[in-house]
Amino acid sequence: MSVLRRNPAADRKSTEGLTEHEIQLVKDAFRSDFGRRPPTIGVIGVSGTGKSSTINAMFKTTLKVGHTRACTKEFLATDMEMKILKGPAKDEPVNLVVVDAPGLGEDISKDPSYLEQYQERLPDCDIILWIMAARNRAVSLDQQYLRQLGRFHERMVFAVNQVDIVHPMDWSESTNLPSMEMEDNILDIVRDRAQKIGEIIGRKPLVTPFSAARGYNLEALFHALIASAPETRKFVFDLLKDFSYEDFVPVELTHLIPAHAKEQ
Amino acid sequence: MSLTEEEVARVRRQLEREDYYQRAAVKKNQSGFMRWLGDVGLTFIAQKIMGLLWSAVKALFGLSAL
Repeated sequence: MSVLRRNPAADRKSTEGLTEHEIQLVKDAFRSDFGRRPPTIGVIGVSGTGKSSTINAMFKTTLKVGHTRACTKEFLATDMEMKILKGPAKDEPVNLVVVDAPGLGEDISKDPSYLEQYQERLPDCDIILWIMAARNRAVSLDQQYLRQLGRFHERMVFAVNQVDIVHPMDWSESTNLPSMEMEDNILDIVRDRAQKIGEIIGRKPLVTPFSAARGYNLEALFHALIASAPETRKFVFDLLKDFSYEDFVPVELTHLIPAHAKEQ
Repeated sequence: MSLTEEEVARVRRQLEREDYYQRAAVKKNQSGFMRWLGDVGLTFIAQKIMGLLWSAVKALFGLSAL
């Protein structure tokens, strides 16, 4: 459990300066607004890039993860019942919707249908995350799909997952970091993906390398997602965020966590 | 297993980077929350929170101090 979330002062019934009535007004507005339009994330990427693992890592959800074949080949809009994790609004229910095509790229006959459904669903998404796998150098499928989803390019966040298995695959267990050689290779991969995506979208995008399995660079990815969300809807994702970088620090190295973080 | 100085330095840099992004996301959320209050007609609460210098926001949603 992240120390960042331990904030007993925030759990007090009365909030300093706000009356109970005012707090209730905020909660009622929250329930109404986000009940009508739940926070929604669109996740795009060919099968096997770790889309579900990424969402599960950030929000402790239980989206099915398929290690050998896609769990389902159907386009999904998964509605997950969740609760606010922080503060006096803690435990308020809210649904998180994840729009995903787990089988994208597995069956050429189904791809047009998936892309059509993305076209329909992406306008309702607060966040659009495009995930590629670090070890897959063949991104022509991503380029083809990107071409067909042109009207969403400006809003997309691009990321490369599974960097923990980049050559020479000597991830350091003691530091939970890539080796120096891995780090150089990860940089090369990021540059390569940015260039290839840039050829399609007409600008060089920010591409965030991360590992959902290791928790590596998840904060950077989450920040990029928040930055892309509509201004008045960003905060709800932070209320549902259920990880901290501190969760992935080896126990022997927790003394290296920045001092102000430990004061929370 | 003890780490070399270089390894310790790498870990520190990574943690500082992750910490920076974590705090930056919270900052963005704070301003977004204030705008949302205005959008849902609770401008008077937003103004009150501004007067309280964010303490009510932090307490209301458990957002970490910056």
